[in-house]
Amino acid sequence: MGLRTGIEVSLALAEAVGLSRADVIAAYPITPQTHIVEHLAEMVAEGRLDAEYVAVESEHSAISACLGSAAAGARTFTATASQGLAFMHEILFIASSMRLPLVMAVANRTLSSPINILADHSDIMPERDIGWVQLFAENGQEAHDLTLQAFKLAEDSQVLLPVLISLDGFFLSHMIEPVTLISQEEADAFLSPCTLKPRLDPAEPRTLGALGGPEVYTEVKQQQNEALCGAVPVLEKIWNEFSGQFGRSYRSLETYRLDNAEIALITMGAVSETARSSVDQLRERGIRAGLVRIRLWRPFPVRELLSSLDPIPCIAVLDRMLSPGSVNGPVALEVKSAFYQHSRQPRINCFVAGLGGRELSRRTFIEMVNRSLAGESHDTPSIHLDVRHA
Amino acid sequence: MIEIRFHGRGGQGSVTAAELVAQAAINEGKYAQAFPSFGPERRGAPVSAFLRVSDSQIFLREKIEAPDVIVVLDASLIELVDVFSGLKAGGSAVMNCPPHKRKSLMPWNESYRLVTVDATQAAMNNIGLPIANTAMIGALLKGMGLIKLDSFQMPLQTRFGRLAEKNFQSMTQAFHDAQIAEPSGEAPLSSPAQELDFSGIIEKEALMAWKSLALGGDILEPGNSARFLTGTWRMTGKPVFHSDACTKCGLCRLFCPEDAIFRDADEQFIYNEDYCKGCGQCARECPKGAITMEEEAWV
Repeated sequence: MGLRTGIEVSLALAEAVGLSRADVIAAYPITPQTHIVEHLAEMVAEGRLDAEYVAVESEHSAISACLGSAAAGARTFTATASQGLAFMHEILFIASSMRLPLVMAVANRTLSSPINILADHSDIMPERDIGWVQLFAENGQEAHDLTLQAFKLAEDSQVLLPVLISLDGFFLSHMIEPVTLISQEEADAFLSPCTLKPRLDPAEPRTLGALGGPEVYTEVKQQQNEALCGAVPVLEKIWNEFSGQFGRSYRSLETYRLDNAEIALITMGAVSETARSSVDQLRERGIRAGLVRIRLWRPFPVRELLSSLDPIPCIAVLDRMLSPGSVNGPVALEVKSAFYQHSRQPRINCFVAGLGGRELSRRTFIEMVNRSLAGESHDTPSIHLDVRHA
Repeated sequence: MIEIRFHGRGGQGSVTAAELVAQAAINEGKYAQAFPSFGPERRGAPVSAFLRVSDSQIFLREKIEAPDVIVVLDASLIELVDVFSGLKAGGSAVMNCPPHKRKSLMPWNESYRLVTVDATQAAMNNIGLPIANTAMIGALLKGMGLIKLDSFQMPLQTRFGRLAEKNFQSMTQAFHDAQIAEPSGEAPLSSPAQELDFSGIIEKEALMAWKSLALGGDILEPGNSARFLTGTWRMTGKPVFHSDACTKCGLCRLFCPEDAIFRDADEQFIYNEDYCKGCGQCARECPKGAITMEEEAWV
């Protein structure tokens, strides 16, 4: 049986990489991801994990090494954050388009400038089109569980895509909290050893990542998109299996107190727990608030979102990134698009808050609800930014 | 609007020719656009360029699939590329062709108007180099009367500087030398306006269905570049080995950048037609002058 223990979430995630018996870890340390890779390096150095730890010279090299490793058929892991993720940018697309299964943890942190090491989603949101399966963990248990699930999903023969897990920097990555750690026996029962057929195989030479002109490029993209969308039923199967074995259930999104709700908050990541407490407070005051927390960001769970929000008339979306010049933040854009052809048109408000580590407390969520319920006037901006004006 | 497609080989100046005509047309107050077929640039490989000239503003940014005119800078391309593809019935083909080979083009004369000129000779006479692109403009003007010869003075000056005058002379000579043969077959009826039909287009543009692609677009067959016959890019002649002068030192083989020289059963050096690009490096390196570059037959 698993052991319920107080552990830093970064370490819980690293332990899950160990339990997954990763073959190759190539990473470059960056705050707030550092503890994940430090711990993995220790596990390898101590002989607890039989893996190749490649201490590369940059994130660009880290992800590139991971591509080669996955192509050679090894179970591959990396982790990064912020500028490091941005530095990986061009390679991230290549990993998914070449259909290379690997797992990456992103300890979400904002992007410079100004230089700021604290949490928001400014690093991950610009990467939403990289073609990876993208999951957001809410707590340490999820960070631990999703990691095992991610390897199983990435390497499934129907999927063969990279998978990333976002965890909010500091408020999740550095938090010490109770996590029921999966035992090695349990992990082995859930996740079989890596059976990836090496694509890079001297006995069966082939060309990977070749030139592809207009006569094939679109078809490669279609193949990639089909695989990404087709990952959903595989993920659901994995979640069923996981729930059967461990009793912890997972869905593409989670809902809280939506019954009879007059307003629903939409959040992602660890702050969803704070949002949940805000919902309770609001309910106590007679405001019928509820919460939808998106766990699966890519592919975006449109159907689940629409059905979970039915028939709530007002929605307040939290975006933890400002998309300058855009109509809304990335999450609100997605939600609004989902509703575009829907017969029902709730009021959807976009709130950009918690940037660069600005406190995201119950105050924030309660204010989101109050402002949304107050209705919109002519002067209401399309984005409510949590900013000091005077 | 008149639509013209140029066919040549990388390095022969097809793109420049299209650009020069566009500039001259624009200087005459017309509207024009010239653009290459975008992609990797390889000397000797077949290339095409596109030109539109119009009295009114042009609102098209697509390749020319059904040209009114084709201009072929290197007639050996006929064997490699369907240069006549989509050419409108009764349209004109402006061909660079020495007089003794003109007869071989006659089969195309049934449906198309042929404008032939020995542009390479015109270029040799006036520029001293076998660069026929400006001469081919002369033949195009003779055939189509599109733009006045004099309108090329300024674009040539801008492009070639001190070589402008020689290019203008080459163009002028080709203009005078070019011969026009009207279609020998029945005059084509002007085709009625066709319904827009896009069926089959995607099959033409895409190599295969997405489900047929290997995972991630991998290429599963090793060494398939052997099927890519770079020997078709040869445009400045082929190497001829003179065994009487050859000392079998092997420098030609050593210097060949394509590894396309080898020994036959009689230990004589020969070249591989499929991959020799005709760069002439072997002839330059041979200390005995036992290799000469000679013109190849075509059609």
